[in-house]
Amino acid sequence: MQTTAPIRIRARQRDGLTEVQLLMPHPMETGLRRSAAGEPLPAHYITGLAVTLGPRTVFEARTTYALSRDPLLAFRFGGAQAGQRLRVTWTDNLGQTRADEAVIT
Amino acid sequence: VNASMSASSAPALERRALLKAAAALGAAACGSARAAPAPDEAGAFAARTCAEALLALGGAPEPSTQIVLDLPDVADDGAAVPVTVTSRLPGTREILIVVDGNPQPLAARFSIPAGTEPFIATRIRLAQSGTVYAAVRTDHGLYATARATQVTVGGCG
Repeated sequence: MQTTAPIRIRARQRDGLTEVQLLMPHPMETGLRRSAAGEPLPAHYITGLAVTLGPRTVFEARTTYALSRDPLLAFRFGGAQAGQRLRVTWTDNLGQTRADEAVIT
Repeated sequence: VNASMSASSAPALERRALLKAAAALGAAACGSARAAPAPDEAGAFAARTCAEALLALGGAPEPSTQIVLDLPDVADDGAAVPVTVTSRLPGTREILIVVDGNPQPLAARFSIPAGTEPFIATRIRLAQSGTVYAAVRTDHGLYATARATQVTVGGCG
């Protein structure tokens, strides 16, 4: 079940490297806040991220609610070509997961 | 001590903060980064202080000028503070962000597989003014650099 919006993935070739920018729509709720009605808001945040190019893992992260809401991430890697597909998968503390793909341009 | 207390340049302040965190590890740090115990990731994420987090990651990091940590000196909104980390250390395997003012200081661990540049950019939450550390694990040990940041409105509550 995928309840969040798709991961926005931009992957562009530049100077022999692939520049990747990710925007992952997610509440990233800290568990420290209360609603307007005073109810505690349960923690809900991305805990893991993997970016793969076929069988090759090009980026991995273990994260906490210290990343901002709708986390942004940028990184660069070598050895890829335009036209290849990049796959991004996140997992959160409630066991939800989401995967999306984009073609390197 | 007085001389270092009166030093006011930003790099001196950062270095002092890092040395203070390293010193807080005390006897457990036990010498060189090479002799550090295997990292305990679960323990590092569960840590409630910077020193505990760094200890679980493998001991006192060696201060390094080869790590560039970029974030604003003053962050108006602690909920989304842009941060970039670039490592010039050969054999960089991991980049870690540790925030001394946050309830859970270890913010994230990024692994850098072979072929990926030792660089990350993201946005983080800072609960209050304090020191942000960028730590880098290489084949040889754990290194870190530190920067003080002022937060106008905290980002965790």
